[in-house]
Parts: sequence; structure tokens; C-alpha cells
Amino acid sequence: MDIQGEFLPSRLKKIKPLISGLWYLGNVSLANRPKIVAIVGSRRMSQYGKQVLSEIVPKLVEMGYVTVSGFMYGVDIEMHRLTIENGGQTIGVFGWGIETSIIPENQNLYNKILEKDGLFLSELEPKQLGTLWTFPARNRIVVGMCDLVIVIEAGIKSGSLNSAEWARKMNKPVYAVPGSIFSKVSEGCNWLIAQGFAKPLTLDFFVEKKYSKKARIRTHSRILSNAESILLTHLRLEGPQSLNELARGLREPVGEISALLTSLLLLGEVSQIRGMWQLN
Amino acid sequence: MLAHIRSVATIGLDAKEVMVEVDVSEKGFPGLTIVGLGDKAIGESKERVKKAIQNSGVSYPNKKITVNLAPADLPKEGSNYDLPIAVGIILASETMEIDLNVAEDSYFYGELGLDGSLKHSRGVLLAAMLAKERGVKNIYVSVLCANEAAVVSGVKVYPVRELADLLRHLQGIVLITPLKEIELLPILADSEPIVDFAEIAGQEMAKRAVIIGASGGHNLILVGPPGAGKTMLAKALPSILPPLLPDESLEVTRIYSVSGLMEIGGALIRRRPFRSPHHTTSMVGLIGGGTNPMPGEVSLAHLGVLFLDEMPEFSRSVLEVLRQPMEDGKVAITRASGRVEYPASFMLMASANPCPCGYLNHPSKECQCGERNIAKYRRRVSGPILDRIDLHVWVDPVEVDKLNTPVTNSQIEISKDIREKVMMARAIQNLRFKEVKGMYTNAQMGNKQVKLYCPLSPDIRQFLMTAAKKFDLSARAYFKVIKVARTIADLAGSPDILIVHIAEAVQYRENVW
Repeated sequence: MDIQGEFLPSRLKKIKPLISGLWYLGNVSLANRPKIVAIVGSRRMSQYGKQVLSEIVPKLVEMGYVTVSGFMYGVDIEMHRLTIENGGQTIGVFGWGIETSIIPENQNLYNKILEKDGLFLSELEPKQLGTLWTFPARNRIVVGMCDLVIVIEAGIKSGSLNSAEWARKMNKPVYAVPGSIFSKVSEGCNWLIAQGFAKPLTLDFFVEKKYSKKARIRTHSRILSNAESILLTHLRLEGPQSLNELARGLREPVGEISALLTSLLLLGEVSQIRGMWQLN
Repeated sequence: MLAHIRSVATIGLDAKEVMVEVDVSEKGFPGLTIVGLGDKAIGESKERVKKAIQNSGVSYPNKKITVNLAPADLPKEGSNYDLPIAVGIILASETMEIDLNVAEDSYFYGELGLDGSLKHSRGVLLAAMLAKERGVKNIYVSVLCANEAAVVSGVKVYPVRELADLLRHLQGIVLITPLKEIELLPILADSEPIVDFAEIAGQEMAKRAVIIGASGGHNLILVGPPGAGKTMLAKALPSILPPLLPDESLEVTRIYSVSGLMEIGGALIRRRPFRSPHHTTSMVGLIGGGTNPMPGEVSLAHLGVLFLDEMPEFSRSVLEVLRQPMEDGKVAITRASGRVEYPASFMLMASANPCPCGYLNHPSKECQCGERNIAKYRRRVSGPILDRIDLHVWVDPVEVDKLNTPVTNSQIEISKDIREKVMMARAIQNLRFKEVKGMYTNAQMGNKQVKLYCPLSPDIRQFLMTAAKKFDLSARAYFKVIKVARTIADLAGSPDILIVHIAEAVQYRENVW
């Protein structure tokens, strides 16, 4: 379906260069929500970027934000996916036509987004393919319709930096995630921060206001065994570590530690990320 | 005159008796003709046999000699008919005083050099086993491979250095002493293991997984960055595998004998095979075949370990051919003249990097690959193969400073001690599957056997269900967890599977990729 001129949602009307018309699929009222955050980043997302997204997207959803991005593989897709997984709604702005077929791997996500009352937008002809020039134009829409921009990862000459440039022109607040100086996909973000074009995004961004901390009363579904308690205490004192380190530190056979960790995992006391075990 | 000399043809791992009939006739143009569907090597026999006879100081009959290799419709191949043909010619030409009966109860099998010496032959063990089966009392083979035959009881093995020696023996002038029978004792491998478990620093979980794999025959994959020690762990595996039982020893030796891989003077293979083919190995190399179908790597790994280092580097189509042997424990190779079946029941061990650059999830290095390339890389290992792997283990890049945690001596285990535990666990399994033909390990259990041999009490079943839901286990993964738990319980000496065994088994599920 397409909309033209005055019928565009107000957020989109304000974007300059003006949008003459666009095609949409899904819940168009999503474009008028009060809290929209644009999350952009490199197509070559690293594990670090993935980890960052898995931390911040749930929090943003909980804060009531609708997310918007470009539905490109890498950071975009991952953040769309996490939004849906956490019960949120998301908007995808395509750098190609609304009817252009998408990669089979993304079909599932595409359907789920629409199921959850999401929205897809495109300024191009329905079957048009993406080219080098369609993406900067799309970026202006992504940035134009949001309240703030978060850049997760960006290479030094990347599309994400183009989005940051739009944000600067449109006076939108930009946050960038600082990253390892060894990582090619953090070079752009680090540069934005160093130049003052973006504020560094840290986790205390989310600590304020409406993010309600759940009651910290730990109720165990059953009494922990001696061995389980010892393991938890060890993790609390020593911090996250690998299974091998735990076995060495606790001086127990690794098989027994494995079994304990399974039980604790099922109880929700611990979790594992990148091979490191930590308290929940 | 017509002489009959008995010999042997090897077809795959089986042997068939071949009768070498030699006729030396006064009438007709002098020359040697060989019939019986022989291949080129047999055609060339003529030259070798003639020279071997002459160089042994015997005159070669200038007559019309006809040799028939019966049965006439069985294609014959190889050079091992040289010896029976030579003996046949000498007997049939009556140039020596040899009692024709002397050849009746014997097999002659071997290749001749121009000087009359006997060369190393393939398949000697099979020939000896056929001799035993058919009540043939003697077998004459080259001294270089006679030891292979010496393990067969009830057959006199005569090691022959050269044709001249054999002729003196047959005349009764100077007798060859038959070999003493070699007993089939399961002797442990004499030499030092390539890598001892105690040499591997850290890697507690991976070591534990290898021990479980060795005990229960479970297939295993190690995933981790380069340099983490995956290859070292693989090299340490043979040191904890139990030695072959006598029957198993014979099975493996047969395969190696047919492949021509027996060492000169080698008798019996007692150590479990460990094959590590390079990832450029062809399909034929892996599965077997060729014009003269030889066993492939999967058969050379029979009753041992097949290690695929860097599994995603193997071509997809080559990996696909692993499915049949992993399912059936054997491979069938079809050629124009029929089907040959080779056993291929092995434990699969594989290693892989987590992504093309190898540094995914590395604590200090960043992976540069990008999600798409990672997904593509993972797809190189086909689902069905991964499905048949029971133990999936992540191998930590060992950080030297973390290893400084003082470890008490009691924690470092050497291969010798580990092997004893593995053998005990195997003994339990042998007992468990006594009634089931061909089943020796927990890994071989199908769903039916799992239900039968691994009953779970209600609270254990409950625990397993919770875990299955939390970790989203497929039905196949569910049964794998039980099988692995059964091995863990065996290692712990526990007749029943307890929650702690299931809890550990769950950690080896497929989640490292």
C-alpha cells in the first residue's frame, strides 16, 4: 500500500529532503509512536556487537521504545530479532522496494515482525533492488523518524557513519558504543565519540527512571545442596569464569562441576555466555 | 604332464581357493600361455616365472606350457600366482625328483623376482585363514610376510626366501622349518603413546569428554580456536583406548593385510587403529574403491578411531559418504564384477574452528567474520553427520597465566590409569550387550535399546524433561543424552543412571556451534 504527500505520518513529513511518497506494509500507526529509537550498525557485526545488542534491546523495549532500522544483515537484523523476541515492536525501512523478495533466512523474522504489528517502509518502487545510492536515502528516513540514534558498530567508511551524519544534520542525539581499538568495526564508533559527534553509550544510560528493578528477593524453588552453594559462592567471589577454571579452582572433577552447573542453570541461578559462567 | 597346485585369490576381505593347473606338453610350439581371466600382472607372470626358474639353477622346459587358473570365470588379479605357477611348471616338466603329492595339501602364494626371491605379498593372513577353513595343512609364502600367517592355528607356515630354497625343501634335501604359531594374546601396545594425557595442560572438560567417548564409543567433536590443543587431544586418544580383543585383532589385521599395509615381518595388529586422513582426501580414499577395490580410511579405522581434523575443510560430498558406515558399520563397494563389503565400525572424532578465522568467542581476540560467513561455514558440516555425534565440546584457548592455579598431584592423570578405567567401563558394556550380536558399546544403542537398557526412575525422567525443555532438545538429542549418561554412570561404577549423570551428559549436547 502506498501513501502520498499529506497523508504521511507526521514524523515522516518533517524529513528533509522531503519524502514524496512511500509504500508500507503492516501497522502504519507505529510510525507515530511517541518513543522511537533508531539502532544502526555494521553489516559485519561482531560477537561484541551481538552481545551489546542482547543487553540493550530488551532494556529499550522495556522502556517503551519502538525500534527502527534498515533490515540489513548484521546489526539491523539482529536488533529487529531481539526486539520481537522481547515482546517489542519494530519498523524496518528498506533500501529496496517493498515487494522485493528478501533472503530466505530472514523470512521467518519478516513474518514475525508483521505478526507483532510491526511495519515495513520503502521509498522506492515496489520491485526495485537496492543499489549504492538507495541506502543513504533510506538512512535519512530511519534517522528522520526517530528520537535518538544508537550506533552499535561501524567501520571507518560505513553506512552507519552516514546515518550518524544525517542525525547531526537533523539534530538528533547520537550515542555510539565504544569498542576495542583492535576491532575494525569499532573504529567508526570510536571516531564519532572522539570527534564529539556522538556520546558514548554506557550501561548506566538505562539505570535511570522507568527501568524498574525487579525485586531482588531470591526465592529458590528448592534448597541448594552443599556443593551447589559452594559453587555459587565461588562465582560470587571470583567472578565469571569458564568451566575448566571452575574445576581447577574448586579442585573437583570436571564431570561433577558440569553436573552442578546444569542443575544451577535449570534453577535459574547461573547463566552462560561465550563459555563463561556467571551468577544471575 | 599335468600338475595341480593350490593357491588363493583374495576378493575384498574374503579368500577363495584357486587351482593352478599346469600342463607341459611335448607337442606344440614352445611357449607359455596363461588362461583364466588373469589381469596384466598375471600376464607378466610369464617373464618373472621363466627367469626365476632359470636363475634358481633349474632348466626351463622348452615346451608348450599351458597354465589354467580355475575357476575359469573368476577374474584373477595380482602377482601372487607367480609361485604356484613356477612350482607347477617344475613339477609338470618332471625335471626334478619331487613327489607330486607333496603339493596336494598345501597352498602356494607369492610373487617372484627375476632372481627367484619371494617378494612381500598382500593378503597372506586371508590365505592362511582359508587354509585353516578348508583343512589345508601347509602354506608356502614369502619370509617377508610369513608372520601374518603364523597367527592361524592348525596351519604350518613355511617362510620361503627364494624359489631355490623351496625346491630343495620339496625334494627333501634341505627342509624349511615351519614357523611357530603366534598366540593371540591381547597384549597392550608396547611402545610409548604419541601423546600422554598428562602432557595436556588444562582442558579438563575436553579431556573428560574424550574419556567418555573412548569408554562408550561415542563420536566426538571438538570446537575451538587454533592452538587450543584439539589435535593434541586427538593424538592422546589412542593411548587410552583398550587393546583389541583377539577376534577384533584378526579382523583388523585382515583389512591391513589386504591393503598391503602390514609391516614387513609384522604379525598381528594389536593396537586400535587411528586414522587421520587429510581434508583433501578423495571419496574413494575415504570410503574405499578403485579398480581393485581396496579398503578406504573408514575401513582402516575399523574398531578404532577416524579423526577428521578441520572437518569443515572436507568437501561436503566426501563427508556425505560417511553416513552409510556410521549408520551400518560397514561399506559396500559395487564394481562391475560384483559387490564387496568392508567393515567400517569406527569411533569418529572431529575438530573444527568455530568460524573461518577461528576466533569466535575468543576471550582476547575479536572475530572478524560476520554472521553470514559464520552461518555458511557451519553449514559445511552436514546436519546428519553432526546428528550422529554424541559429544560436542568447546575447547578453551588455554591461557597460560590461568594455569598457575596450583593443581594437586592427584588431579593429573596419566594415560595408563585412564585406560584402566576405560577398560572397566567397556567390560560393563560387554556384559550388558552379551545377548546382542555386534553390539559392544553404549554408543551403538538405538532408541529401542536405550529404552530397554537405560530405564529411568520417575524423578530422573522429570529432571530430564525439564532439561529437554530448557535446552530445546530434539528427540534425537534426548536419546543421545541418555546414552552418554549411561556411559558416565558406567565410568562411575553405578548400575543405575542417576541425576548427576544426566546433568553432566546434558553439557555435551550440540550447542557449541
